[in-house]
Amino acid sequence: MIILSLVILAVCLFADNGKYRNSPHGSTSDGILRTADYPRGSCAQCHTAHPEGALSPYGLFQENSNRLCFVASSGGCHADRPAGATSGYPAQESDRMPAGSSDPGYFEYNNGGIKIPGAPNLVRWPGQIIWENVQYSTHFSDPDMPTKDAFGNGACDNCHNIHGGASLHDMLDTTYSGITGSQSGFSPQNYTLCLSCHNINGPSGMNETSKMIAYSYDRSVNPGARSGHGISTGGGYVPSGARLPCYDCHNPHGSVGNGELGANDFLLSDQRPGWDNLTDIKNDNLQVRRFCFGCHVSSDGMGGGPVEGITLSPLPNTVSAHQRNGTDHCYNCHGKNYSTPDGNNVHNPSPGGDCITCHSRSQGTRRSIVPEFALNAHHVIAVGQTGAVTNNDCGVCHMEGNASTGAIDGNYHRNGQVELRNPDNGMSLAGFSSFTRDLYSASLEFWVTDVQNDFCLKCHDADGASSPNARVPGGSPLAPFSDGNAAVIDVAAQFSPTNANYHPVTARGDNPYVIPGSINSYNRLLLPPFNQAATHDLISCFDCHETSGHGGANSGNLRTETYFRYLSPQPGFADAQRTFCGRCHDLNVYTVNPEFSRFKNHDESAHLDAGGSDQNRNAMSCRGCHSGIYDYDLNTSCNNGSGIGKIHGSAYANPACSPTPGTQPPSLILGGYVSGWKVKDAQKNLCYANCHHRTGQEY
Amino acid sequence: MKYFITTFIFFTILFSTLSAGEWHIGPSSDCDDCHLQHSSEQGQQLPGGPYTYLLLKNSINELCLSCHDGSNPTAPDVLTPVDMYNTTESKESGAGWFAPAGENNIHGHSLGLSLLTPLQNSAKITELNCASCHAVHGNGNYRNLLYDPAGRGDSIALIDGMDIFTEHPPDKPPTSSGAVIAYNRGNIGYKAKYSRWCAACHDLLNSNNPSTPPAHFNGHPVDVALNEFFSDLHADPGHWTGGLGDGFINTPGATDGILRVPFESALATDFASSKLPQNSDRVFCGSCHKAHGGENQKSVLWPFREGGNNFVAGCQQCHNK
Repeated sequence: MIILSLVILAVCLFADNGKYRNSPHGSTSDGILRTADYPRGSCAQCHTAHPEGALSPYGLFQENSNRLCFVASSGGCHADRPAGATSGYPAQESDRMPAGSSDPGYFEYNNGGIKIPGAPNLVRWPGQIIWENVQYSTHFSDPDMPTKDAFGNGACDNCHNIHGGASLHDMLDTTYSGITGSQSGFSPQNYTLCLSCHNINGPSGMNETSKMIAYSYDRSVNPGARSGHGISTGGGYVPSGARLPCYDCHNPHGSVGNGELGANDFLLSDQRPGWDNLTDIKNDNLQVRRFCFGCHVSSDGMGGGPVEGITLSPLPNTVSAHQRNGTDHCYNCHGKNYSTPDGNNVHNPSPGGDCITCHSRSQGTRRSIVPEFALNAHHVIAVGQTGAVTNNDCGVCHMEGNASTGAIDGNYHRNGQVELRNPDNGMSLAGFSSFTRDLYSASLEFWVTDVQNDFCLKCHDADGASSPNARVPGGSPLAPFSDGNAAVIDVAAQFSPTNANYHPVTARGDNPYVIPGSINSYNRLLLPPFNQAATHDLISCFDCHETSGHGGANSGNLRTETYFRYLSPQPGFADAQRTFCGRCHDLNVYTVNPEFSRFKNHDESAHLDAGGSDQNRNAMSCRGCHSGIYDYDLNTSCNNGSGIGKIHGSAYANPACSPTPGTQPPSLILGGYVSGWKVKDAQKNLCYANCHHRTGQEY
Repeated sequence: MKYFITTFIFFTILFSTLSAGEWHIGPSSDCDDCHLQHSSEQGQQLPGGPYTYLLLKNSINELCLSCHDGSNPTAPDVLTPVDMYNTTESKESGAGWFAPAGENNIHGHSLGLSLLTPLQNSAKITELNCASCHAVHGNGNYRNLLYDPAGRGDSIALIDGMDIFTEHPPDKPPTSSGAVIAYNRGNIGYKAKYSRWCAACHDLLNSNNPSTPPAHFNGHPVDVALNEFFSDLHADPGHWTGGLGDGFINTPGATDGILRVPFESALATDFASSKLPQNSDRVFCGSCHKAHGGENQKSVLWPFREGGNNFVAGCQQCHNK
């Protein structure tokens, strides 16, 4: 049974199914003619039944190798470069099968769609000499070719069946046809010939890059019309979404360069002007531009030409790199990731010019950006909302984009730097390759202060994004993004040193108690690196907020969660404040050894009556008294100025209903349990709160 | 007395070879079909005679063809043109036909002409006559084929019912209808040895030339089963046994094709089984060539050299390329 199965299998594998007589070789009118002793197309043109001559396998007239095909004969055969068809080798657009024919677009010399046979018309074949170029004809020279001829070279019958094969064209043994129909299915059956080798299961020696090609054409892996260098709009005989045939860019037989100016690597075709000496298009900017502009028309109207019956529109002029004399590498925007199945590369190009598409996934060393806008905290989209970030939005903040058009600015994009836009003048900040803040240093990095002062606080100020270049169309200075509800908060004013209280971001603080000195028994009240000597160090936005400005997991994009956006205290609220404030403030002093601070009752356990206990500590921790988020002074008729949004600093004055009307509390003492604060004398202050401080507690 | 002795010896030899059922032997042979004892008949001198061995004709070819030229409807016609088999499916005999003796026959073996023997190591000049292949007084072989056609000491037995099978023997006495049935191509099935017999003279074909895989042979092998190299077939046994499609006549939709070519069935035990196509069938000389000749050059069964619709039909039946 096993043997029978093997026999059946072998029969299936090796039977050629009677295609010979209808093949070009088998034609009685145009078929193979090596010797006039036998009819055209006869088996005896290649085989002899009896050993009348030299003995060769299969009774062939010479050793079984590619050379069988190159024998000069009365029939011509394939040694020479064909000189027929429209203008000889290489094939031209006019050599394609036309619309309405059996296979539009396939390179087949024809008359009204009817093939004109004959070896001289096979103008995709460059001739024996080019085929045998060991450097640039890899299907000939690569030792990993699946089938090698008697001389160890890649055999013609890796692709061709000299007795006729499955393909309608060129005696190919596997389906290989024109562009029509390539829009259908996950993988384009039209190009099975190439993709059956150039896939992940290809020959073991094939390089991994070449094995990824089938993925680039597979729309189950890469959905959308761009995969397979797809043609989204179509036109003429090219259907919308068609994937580009391999033969439009490659010639599997090698090349000599267009105009015979020099061979191309990667088996790139010689067909189009500029396609010569393309030996390193992956890395050489000018080479790749010559290659792409072979088909694509530059934004200034140069290059290109008809392809598959279509004349492409000029590339968008919003990208300076699209000009013919540009110098950028096309793959910078359109991708050159050949290492992953969904990588963008010339076979599966990214659209280019589209920030969102590219940065929805990691790009080289750049992390995936767009998903960050969907995190708990984010810029661009209003608080608590979700929505799509647009290409225009990117240009609000980044010089690499254009807020008006959404296009990429090639002057900045992919130059190795991130260049943020000053929202007031629209100009570029100094670039940085990676934005970092060393939290173990009190010395603020220059890029940190640059971004803080000329970017963050230039937008988060009273006039917002005052430059039109920093606003999307329809955007306003105080709502510059596509989401009109994403309003700018004036943070700069909060940090003003004229305020009664502020964190030291734009100016040093003036609170003597946080600096080691006689007033606090030389105890540190801030953790290293801040204020460890007789200084009052500046801090930055990025000591509290994440360096990624796009979005973050914690409310307010803070480095740890504080739950400040919740309407009521969340479980763990007190601990969250301790964690956050304790990043800089030494809680060991404030809550454990309060005698070294301004007042001994900083110990949270001394404030249990204020708002309940949390593990025998104040339930709101620091924020029971400092920039308290919730109005919890138990005086419902009087707003205590609960401190949400005031933690940066404020000029808050207690209201008339407060026990201390008109006073401006220092040290962010507002909100929470606090109902008032006033100076008693030079040494003492009075605090009013919802506990035993209702009549004022002296400090 | 001399007459008696001669007659005794003649019949002694005659009856000693009665084991086979072919003609020109035993009861099926009449001496005076070919010989004339006194070179005269009814007082008339044999024109041009007497001839060697008291033959009725001046040469073997002339003698044989005097009956086998279509003039005697009970004898198989082997001289072009042949139309006695027109009522059969193949419209021809198993061995085909010759051109007239003395004519260089590019469609088969030439009779009565000195020619270089093709595919022969010694490349002898040979003039063929009917007795070069057939035992004129019969022997035990199918069609009285010589045991040793090349005269090299071979003893090649081709026994009807063992190496070759026929369904209908010729009528006794012979009849015209019986001759058609007995000698038409469809009445013969092959099992073995035929190629060896041909290769006695064409000894360049004595053995298949092995090659290196994936080829198995340099040149076309004989007596090798279609499915012998099942892991790397170059033939298409399924196409062969199916009998439809490229190369085969009577395929629906086809405008050409030829009858299934003769083949050797190594598993045959009788006529019926010898005609049943199987994967293990073997090509032999007769698969491609007719012994006497035919309508195509080199007596190929299809117009291999001439071209035309069926120019590769015989190849396609096995290979289906």
